[in-house]
Amino acid sequence: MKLKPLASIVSFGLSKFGKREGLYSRELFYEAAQEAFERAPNLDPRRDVQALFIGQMSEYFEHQGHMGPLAADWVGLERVPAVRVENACASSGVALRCGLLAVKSGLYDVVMVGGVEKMTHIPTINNVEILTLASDNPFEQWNGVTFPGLYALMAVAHMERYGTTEEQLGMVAVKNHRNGSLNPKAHMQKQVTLEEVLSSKPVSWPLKLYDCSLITDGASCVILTRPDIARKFTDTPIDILGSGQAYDRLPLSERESLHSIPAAKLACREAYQMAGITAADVDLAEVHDCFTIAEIMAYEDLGFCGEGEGGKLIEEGVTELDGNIPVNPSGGLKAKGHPVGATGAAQVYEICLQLIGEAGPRQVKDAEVALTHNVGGSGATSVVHIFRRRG
Amino acid sequence: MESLEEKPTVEGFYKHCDRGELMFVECLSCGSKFAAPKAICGRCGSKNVKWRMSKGVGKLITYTVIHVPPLQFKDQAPYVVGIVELREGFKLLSLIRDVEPKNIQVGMELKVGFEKSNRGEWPYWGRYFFTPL
Repeated sequence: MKLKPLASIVSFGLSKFGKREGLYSRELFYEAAQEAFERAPNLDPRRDVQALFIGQMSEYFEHQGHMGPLAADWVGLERVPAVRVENACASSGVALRCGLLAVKSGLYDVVMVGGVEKMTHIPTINNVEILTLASDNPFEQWNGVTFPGLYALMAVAHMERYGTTEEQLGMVAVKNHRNGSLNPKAHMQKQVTLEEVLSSKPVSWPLKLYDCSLITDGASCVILTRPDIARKFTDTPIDILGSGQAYDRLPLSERESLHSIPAAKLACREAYQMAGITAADVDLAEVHDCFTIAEIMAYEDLGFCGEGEGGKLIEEGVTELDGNIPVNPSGGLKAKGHPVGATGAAQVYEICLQLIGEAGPRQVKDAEVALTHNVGGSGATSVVHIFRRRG
Repeated sequence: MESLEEKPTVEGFYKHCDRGELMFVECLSCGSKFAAPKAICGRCGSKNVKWRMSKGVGKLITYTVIHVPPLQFKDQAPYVVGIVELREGFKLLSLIRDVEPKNIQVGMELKVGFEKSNRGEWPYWGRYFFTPL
């Protein structure tokens, strides 16, 4: 394992996820930022934070672009460079990487990264329409596909090749709802049974309502510093040991594989190499379960099991809270919710809580090394980060 | 197979669809074939790419039945979308028509069809689709 971190997290915040009526995304970001500022009393946001990178997928949800300076202003930062990052559902995972690059370059000592999205105030069909923008317009959108549709195409390819079953997909939903029921900030805190998942109404066969993540409002943030000054702001810094990102072609039909996400494998390899670890060293992970099949593919792409063995892994309980590699202790996108631009940094928030031992009833025991896996669109962006609790 | 001298473009692809022609691009350097009419081969980086006309026959490699549609398809749900591998060796995402969802199978043979657009200009191209052979 590498001893020299890329950067360190000294604070983190998350708004309550859910249907947040009466609030704009800027106000949800304020909620997330307040938690982060309160967690680090030695940090003076106006004095110390030197840049903001904020993920937001689409300006169509709130008819609001130019989110960088807007978000900085509404959380009271001094007039710092403020940048909106857009990589579909991986926007704030990529924002974290931008912040990391900014600190690692030596240009800044302290930066804030985060993400926002406000989605529940518009009808489902408009959400479908806006989310679909992350696919290729003339070769996918124009031909009637949706995001559940793209992941359903991958699900059928996975089922055909490996014999993965609808029941195995459903088990991902059951696990993540169980975890979400232990997370007071999750959008849904209700457990579901496998029967309820399997009999829920079809969205894009074989994916049913309970195979899909939630349309959610929320915001997330993380404060990064140079590793050598992290102790000025907290006694429990979380070090970032590895960061990987890769792209693939937007049209699913042009990928090398339909039953995995090749860019996730590349991003993961880069992050593992940078951190000097292998999959066996990972104690827990927050992965991009926008649809249940996505979590099954993530197990394989991240090396938690062999190719085609993801269905078996969920069946054997390996990724449960008390399993060998707990995955999505927060409830994941499935139950915690998926305010798309906020998701990547929200995954990091959960990892931080877990690594400092403040995750309450969903606490994973003795966690030291953790991973986040954030995917944009149907896999054209993938970003993976590796974290370690500082001893 | 016919080779055309015009430069591959997205608009060109759909204008060919309007004439009942399904085009794809072949890289003359590495031989890879792709539907998206890019100027650079995605596999080897060569700019030596040429239009080809497909015979429009292939097989279904994966599919889904969409029940929750986007706005412009709201009157058509449920409908089938799949990825088709054409005999020439390129893949394309497409609507699959004239088949009951329960009768669809991965591996089934399909042929291309075209619908006329009443506009024929961006962004209202005439669509290609596939039906059972």
